[in-house]
Amino acid sequence: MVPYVPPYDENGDWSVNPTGGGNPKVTEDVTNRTRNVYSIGGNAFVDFTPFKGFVFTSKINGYANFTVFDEFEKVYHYSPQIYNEHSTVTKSIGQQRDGNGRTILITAGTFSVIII
Amino acid sequence: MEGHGYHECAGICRGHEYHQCLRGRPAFTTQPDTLENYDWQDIMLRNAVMQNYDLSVSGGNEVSTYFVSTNYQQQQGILRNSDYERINFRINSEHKLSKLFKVGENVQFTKAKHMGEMNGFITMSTIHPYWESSLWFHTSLPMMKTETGQ
Repeated sequence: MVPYVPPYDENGDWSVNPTGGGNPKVTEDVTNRTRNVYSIGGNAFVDFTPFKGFVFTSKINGYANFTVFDEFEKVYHYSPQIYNEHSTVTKSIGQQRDGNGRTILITAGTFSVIII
Repeated sequence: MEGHGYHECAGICRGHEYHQCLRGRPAFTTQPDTLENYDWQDIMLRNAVMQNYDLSVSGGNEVSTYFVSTNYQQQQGILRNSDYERINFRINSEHKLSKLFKVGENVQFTKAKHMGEMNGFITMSTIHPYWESSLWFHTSLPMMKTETGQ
């Protein structure tokens, strides 16, 4: 928005951007967005040490997340091109999962061998 | 001038007519000192506060060890009406089953909440007041030059 135009005009409506762009106050005033992300992850392992300095480590890893996106947009009319005749509610849900397992041989620290 | 009036003006006028069409409208002037000034960064942005809390407990003995921690973070966005909140739990433990075997696990849970995300504001131009010779906007900005070079 150009700096000589206020956010609202004398009638309390959003000022129109004379250069043709939007008024960022519109989005701020009419839109309510929330995104909740739940994620859980972890690993479990078993170490087998037949003798000192020689360890087999078996490990499994898992990860999952769950995302819920909510958006509410009020009725508004900013310009002939930018308006919303009806209140709109948007909800979307996404999920992602990943996991793997492997066994690693760890020796005295000089080298490692991965056994899948 | 209303937005549609501007577009109508831009659509029907060309060249010198275009200049004449835009002059005299409230937002277009050759005397920028007479215009009001609004700090849009101050209007849209704010000083944001962040809080962060950690709590952890660990212990164990020769056979088992554990580590439990939690973290809470709350952060205001620099854009008004934008906030971020996160809570996190973590548990680690290890247990010696024998001289040969040891087991353990590491589990983490996180809940994050993002509020008031806005994408459009970053496209705002903050350099308009100094853009006197732009081919795109020179007729629509208060800093344009007159025929006499003022």
